[in-house]
Amino acid sequence: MRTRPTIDIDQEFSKNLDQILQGETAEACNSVSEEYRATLEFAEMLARSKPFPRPAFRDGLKRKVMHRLGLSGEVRSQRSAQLYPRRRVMVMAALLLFCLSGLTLLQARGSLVAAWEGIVIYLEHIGVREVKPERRWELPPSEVPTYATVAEAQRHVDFPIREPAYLPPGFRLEGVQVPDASSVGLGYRRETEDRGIELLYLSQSSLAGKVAEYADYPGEIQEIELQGRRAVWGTDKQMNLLIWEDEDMVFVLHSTLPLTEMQNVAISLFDE
Amino acid sequence: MAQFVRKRVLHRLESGRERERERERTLAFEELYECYVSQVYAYVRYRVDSAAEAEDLTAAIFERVLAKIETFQSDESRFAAWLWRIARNAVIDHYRKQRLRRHLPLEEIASPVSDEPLPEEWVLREERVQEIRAHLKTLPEREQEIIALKFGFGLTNRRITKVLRMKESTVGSALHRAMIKLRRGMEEEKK
Repeated sequence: MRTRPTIDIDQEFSKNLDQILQGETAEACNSVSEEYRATLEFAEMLARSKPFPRPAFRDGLKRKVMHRLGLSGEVRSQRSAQLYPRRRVMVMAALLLFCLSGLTLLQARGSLVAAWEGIVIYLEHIGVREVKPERRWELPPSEVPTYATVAEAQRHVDFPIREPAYLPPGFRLEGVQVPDASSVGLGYRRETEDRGIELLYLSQSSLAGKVAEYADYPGEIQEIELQGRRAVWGTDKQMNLLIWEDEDMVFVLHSTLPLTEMQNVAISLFDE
Repeated sequence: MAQFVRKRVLHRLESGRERERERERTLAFEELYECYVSQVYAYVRYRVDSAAEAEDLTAAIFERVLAKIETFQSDESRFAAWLWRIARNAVIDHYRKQRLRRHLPLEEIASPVSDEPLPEEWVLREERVQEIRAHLKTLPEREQEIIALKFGFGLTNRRITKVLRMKESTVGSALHRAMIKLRRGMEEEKK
């Protein structure tokens, strides 16, 4: 004797309901009751009547939420830069040490600026943000051998040091640093009433291949062209950066100057 | 010197990466918002009596999501489940608070949606939704919840079981029963 297959009506209803909610046509089997069909039609009506937010509310909330998200991002980065009490003590101790090392610098270079430089470099290093950009100085600590002229420094490196043919008005050579025989750094600065101290630091080293590495970076650093040569331009609130390669050398310009001025300095360094 | 410069450059690159991550995070959140805001609103609207309340609650839900997004690290399917829980808890909290302030005059509880002109389509839909909600609230709490999850969020019965911790067969029968009751209630009113 054949028995009619039984169907789980609730399960069938859920299946049909899912079809309706997915925008498909509900395929109810023939054996279902009129009430079942009426309920399915009602479900179709209910699905068509789904509430939706007012466009103005939707957009307004989006703006609010995205704004809050942006703020929370800022708070996060501020937090990471914040000095906690314990770290504050460490900073004070380190400052004291640097004042002492600055005094040594002072003796060695005969300038008050040197002491200030030592402190600023350290403050910058540990992320103290209160230092005004125009008061920054880029020369690294005094353990790097520093020479007053390019000619003196040239004796300690195994490549010809290039000097820019163009410098913005007022810049003068502060010192030439030679960390090793393959690299050299030329520090220039100028001081004006309105802008304070402005810096230009030119690093030259035989470390070709670095430009490609920087150029792949998708963030604030972008690839540009300098008279047909590939270069990388990076910018942030504190210091701009220009990197390019020439023959086997890599050049890095750090400065608070704008891009056009830095480009002019860079172009004046090209090996004709 | 070169080492020092490289160090500085790398430091800058790292802060650039942070900014990039921040940007990606913002874009991802924007995408999630676009994807889920209508679902969240629809679910909430089925659970509360007015559009104004639904808007307040939707805003509160996204505020909560925003506040806790840092702690959430998983894929999108889990994000959806997480969002349903937040939305459901927000509605529960809303009713809890409402019970506490029942003594307040009605005008202090309900606020108008807005003074701005409303889109006609939205107004018509809202009238229909109010009618549905009036009948929906006569059903038991559990059945209201199932219908809201089904029609608001568009969840399958299996997912509803996870949210409400019920058996799938129980969800299926409760859903069917609730739909019949709701249909009958609305039909009777028309007669």
